[in-house]
Amino acid sequence: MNNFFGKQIFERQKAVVIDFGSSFIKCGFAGEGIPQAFLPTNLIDLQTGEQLEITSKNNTSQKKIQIWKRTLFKRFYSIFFDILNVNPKSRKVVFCENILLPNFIKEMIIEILFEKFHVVSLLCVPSPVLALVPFKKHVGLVIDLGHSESTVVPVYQEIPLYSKIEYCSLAFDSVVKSLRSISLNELKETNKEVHSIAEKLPETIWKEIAAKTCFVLEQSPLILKKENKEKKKKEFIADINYPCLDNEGNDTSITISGKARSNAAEILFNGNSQNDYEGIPYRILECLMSCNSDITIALSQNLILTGGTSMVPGCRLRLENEINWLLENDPHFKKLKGLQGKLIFQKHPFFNNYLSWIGGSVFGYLEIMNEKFVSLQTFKQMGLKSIPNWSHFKIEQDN
Amino acid sequence: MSLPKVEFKCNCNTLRNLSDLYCCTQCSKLSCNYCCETKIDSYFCPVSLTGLSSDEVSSSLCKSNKHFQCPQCESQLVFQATTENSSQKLYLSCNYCRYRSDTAIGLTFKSMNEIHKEYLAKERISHTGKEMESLKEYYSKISKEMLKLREFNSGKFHRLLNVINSPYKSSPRLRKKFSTGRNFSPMRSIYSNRYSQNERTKLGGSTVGSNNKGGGGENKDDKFSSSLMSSKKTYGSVLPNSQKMKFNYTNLEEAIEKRKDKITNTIHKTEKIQWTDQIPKELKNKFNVTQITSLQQRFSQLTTQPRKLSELSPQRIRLMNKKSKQCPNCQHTLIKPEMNPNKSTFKIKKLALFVLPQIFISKITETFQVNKQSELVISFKNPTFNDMKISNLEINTFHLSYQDQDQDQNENKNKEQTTANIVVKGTEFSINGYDESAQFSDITLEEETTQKTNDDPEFVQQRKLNKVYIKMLITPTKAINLLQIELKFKVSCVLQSKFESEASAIISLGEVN
Repeated sequence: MNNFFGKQIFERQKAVVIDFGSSFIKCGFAGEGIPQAFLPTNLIDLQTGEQLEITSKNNTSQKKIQIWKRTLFKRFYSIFFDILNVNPKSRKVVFCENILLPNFIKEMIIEILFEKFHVVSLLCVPSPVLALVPFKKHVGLVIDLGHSESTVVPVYQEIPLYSKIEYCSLAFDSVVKSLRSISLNELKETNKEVHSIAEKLPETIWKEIAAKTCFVLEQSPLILKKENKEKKKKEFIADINYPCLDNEGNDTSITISGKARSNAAEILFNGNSQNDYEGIPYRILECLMSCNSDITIALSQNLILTGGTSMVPGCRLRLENEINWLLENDPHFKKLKGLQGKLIFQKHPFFNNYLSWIGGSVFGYLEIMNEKFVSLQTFKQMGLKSIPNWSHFKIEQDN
Repeated sequence: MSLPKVEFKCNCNTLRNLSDLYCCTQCSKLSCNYCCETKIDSYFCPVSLTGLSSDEVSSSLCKSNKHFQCPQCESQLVFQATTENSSQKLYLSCNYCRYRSDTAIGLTFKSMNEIHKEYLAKERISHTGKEMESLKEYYSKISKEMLKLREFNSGKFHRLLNVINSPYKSSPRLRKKFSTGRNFSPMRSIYSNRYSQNERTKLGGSTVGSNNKGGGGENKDDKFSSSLMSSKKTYGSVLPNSQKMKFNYTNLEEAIEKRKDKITNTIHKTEKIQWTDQIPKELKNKFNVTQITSLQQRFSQLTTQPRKLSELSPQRIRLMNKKSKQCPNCQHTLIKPEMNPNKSTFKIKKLALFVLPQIFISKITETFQVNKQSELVISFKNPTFNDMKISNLEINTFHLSYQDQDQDQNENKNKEQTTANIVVKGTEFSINGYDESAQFSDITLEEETTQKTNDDPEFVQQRKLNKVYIKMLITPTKAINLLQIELKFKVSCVLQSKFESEASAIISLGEVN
C-alpha cells in the first residue's frame, strides 16, 4: 500500500528531536534533513509578565519554580500539539541540551516531559557532541557562537572534555547593544531629532537592523593601527536608511552609519571592558593550549563553527586572520607557534543554524542508540530525579 | 494594588478561575488545563476545512498539499489565471501585500495537479536530501561494526576459549590474531565501560584466555554485566584489520627516514579546504533595506535561507488539529469535539461552570484595618435548573506556600498566624434552580423573597431567583499585603444522576493596614 508520495504506510514512528536555544527553538522529526520549525523562544509568563531565559547565566532562585514550570509546560504544549501535530504519549524524544545548563532547569524539563506528557523514552545529549555528526568526524573543537553566550568545547570520541571548556558572554546580544550605542552616540552630534526617535526604538527592532545590515571587517582596525598599516585610501562603507515611525506616526527613517555597521561586531573580537577582557580568538587558543599535547594536532585540524552568530558575513575569515596574528605575535602562545597557518575550519553542506539538530536527527534514527534512551518505566521504578550525564552514563539495576 | 477576586482550587494545588476548570462527573474531581491529559482527535486543513487521516498528515509532513502562504506576509495565496500568447497559465497572488509569483520568481503552473509533480517533488528531496542519506549510511555502517565487535568481545567467546585453553596457548597464529592492535575504533567510548576499575588496569593488552581479573570471562563483581553498553573488555583487543609497521630494513638510517615520512604524512594528510566566503561588495555599498529578508522570513525557508526578498518562494500552510481531554484520575473524557471540521461544537462538555455555584463578592462595608470588624457579603449563584444544596461550610484564613519542601514549617506557621478572625453563623443552605419563566411573571422580586424563607437573617441575608447572599464578619489581627480566605463546602445537586463533590474557593481581599 503506497501513499501519494510513494512511501509505505507501515513505518515505525519517528522520534521527536528538540533543540532548545536561548533565542530560537528548533524542532522536528528524526531522520529528516531539516527541522520542521524555527520558533522564537519567548518564555513569557502570562500571569506575571516576566521573561525567562534558558542560559547558563541564570541566577533565579528556587522560589520561581512555579513560574518556570508554567511557561515551560505551555511551550512544550505548543510544540507538540500546535506545530508538530503529534501525540507525545507514543513518541520518543531526543533533547539537545546546552552544555552548561543549570541543573534545576534540566530537572524541570525532564519532569514535565515524563510526568505531564508521558513520553515513551528520552535521550539527553549535549549539543557539541551532536555538532560533529554532519562532518563524519569523531574528534573536534566546537566553537558555538550563540545569542546570549558562546562556548569553546573540545570533543574527543563523542565525549566533551568538561574541564577544558572556555566560556564567554560575548554573543549576538552584545553585538546588538554595541550597534545601538555607537549609532546613538553618532546621532547625538549630527541630528538631534532622529536621535530622539532612535532612542525609543525597542530592542527587537535593533535586532532586525543588526541582522540585516551588519558585517565583520577582514582585518581588525586596532591591529592595523598598531602596525601602522592603515591604508591611505580608507574603504568606503555606505550609510543606510532604515524606515521607522515617528512619534506622531509619520514615516521617517534612521541613518545607520557605515562605521556603526562595520564596528558593531568588533566586540566579539576585542572583548568587553567589564566582564570578558579577551575576545573569542583568544579563548580558542587558550582552549587548545590547555588540552593535552597528544590531542592538539587532531583538534587544530577539525575546527567547527556552529551557531547563528557565526553566519554574520565575514565572521569566519576574521577569526582565521586573528588566530594567525595571535600565534605570530603573542608571547603567551609560544607553545603553539608551529600551528600558524595550519588550522583548518571544516566545511559542511548544511547551515550553521541547525547543525546540532541534524546530529540529533541522526542519533534518533539509529537503532543502536535505543539502548541509551531512558524509558518511562525505569524512570518511575527507580525514582530518579534526572537523567545521568551523557559521558557518565550508568544506571545501576538492582536485580 | 490587587483587586478582590474569587478563585477555585484545582486538584494540582493551583488557583484558577471557575471558567478554566473541568469537573468529572464520575469521580467528582476538578482538573485544569495543566493537569488533564490531552490527545489529538482529528486533523484538518484550515483553508478548505476538510478532514485528513494521520497517515496523510505524516506523509505530507504536517502541511497541506494544495494551499500556499505568502512568503512576505504569511497570509493565504490564491490561484489566478493569465492568458499569455493564447495559453492559460496559473499563478499565485496575495490579496494583502500584492505579491505575485510570476513577476517575483516566474513561478507558473499549467494546472492545479501539476503543482504536486514539480514544485512539491523538489521540496520533498530537500527534506530527505542526499547529504542526510549519506550521513545515515555512514553511521549505520559504524553501528553494525560495533555490534559485531561487541558480540566478539562479549563473554560467550571468552568462555569458550577458557574451556579450550591449551590449544590456544600453543598456536602462535591465534595468539597473533588476538594480540594488540591499534587503540582506535570510532565511537568505542560510548559502548565500553570507561570508568570501571577493571578497565584502568589494562589498556591495550589483551588477556584472552588468561585468568586475570577483568580479563576473559564474566566477573561477579561487575555490576554492569547485563547493562546497556558494555562490551566489558578492553579496547584495542581486536580490530579486524590491524596494521603493523614492519621493520625489515638492514640500514638504520634508511629505516629512520622512512619512518619519519610515514609520521609526517599522517599529519599533513588532511586535505586543505578552500573557502570562498569573502564579503560581497554589495554589502559595503548602499542598498535598500526593504529588499532584504527579515529573520522570520528567512526561517520559513530553511534549505536556502535567502538574503534577498526576490529569492523567497511560497510555502505550504500548516495543518491544524482538534484535541480531546481526559480526567487524570479515572481516564474518562471531559471534552470531545465533533469530527466534522465545519462545526465548532462539542459532543461531550463537562465544565465546572455547569456544576459548581458561581461565587461573587457583593459588599464590603469597611476597608480592612487591624482589629476593626467589617462585614463581607458573598453571593452564590446556581447554574442548574434544579435545586442545589450546600453543606459543611467552613471558612478559614489561607496562606499560599510556594516551596513544597517547607510544607511542615508553613503548616506550623499557619496555626500560629491566623491573620483574621471570622464569624459565620451557619453551615447549610440550599439554592433554587434557574427558572426561565420568572422573568415573565407578574410577581415582583421583593414579594418572592418574603414568601418561603426560614433563614437566619444574620447568615442568609437575601435571596433572589437563583442567588443566595451570605454574610460574615471579619476582624483582621495582623497587617499584611494580601488577606485570603478559604471557603470549603460540599455541593450536591441533581443532574442526570445525583452529583456530590467537595470544592474550595479562595477569596483574595485587599490590603490590611
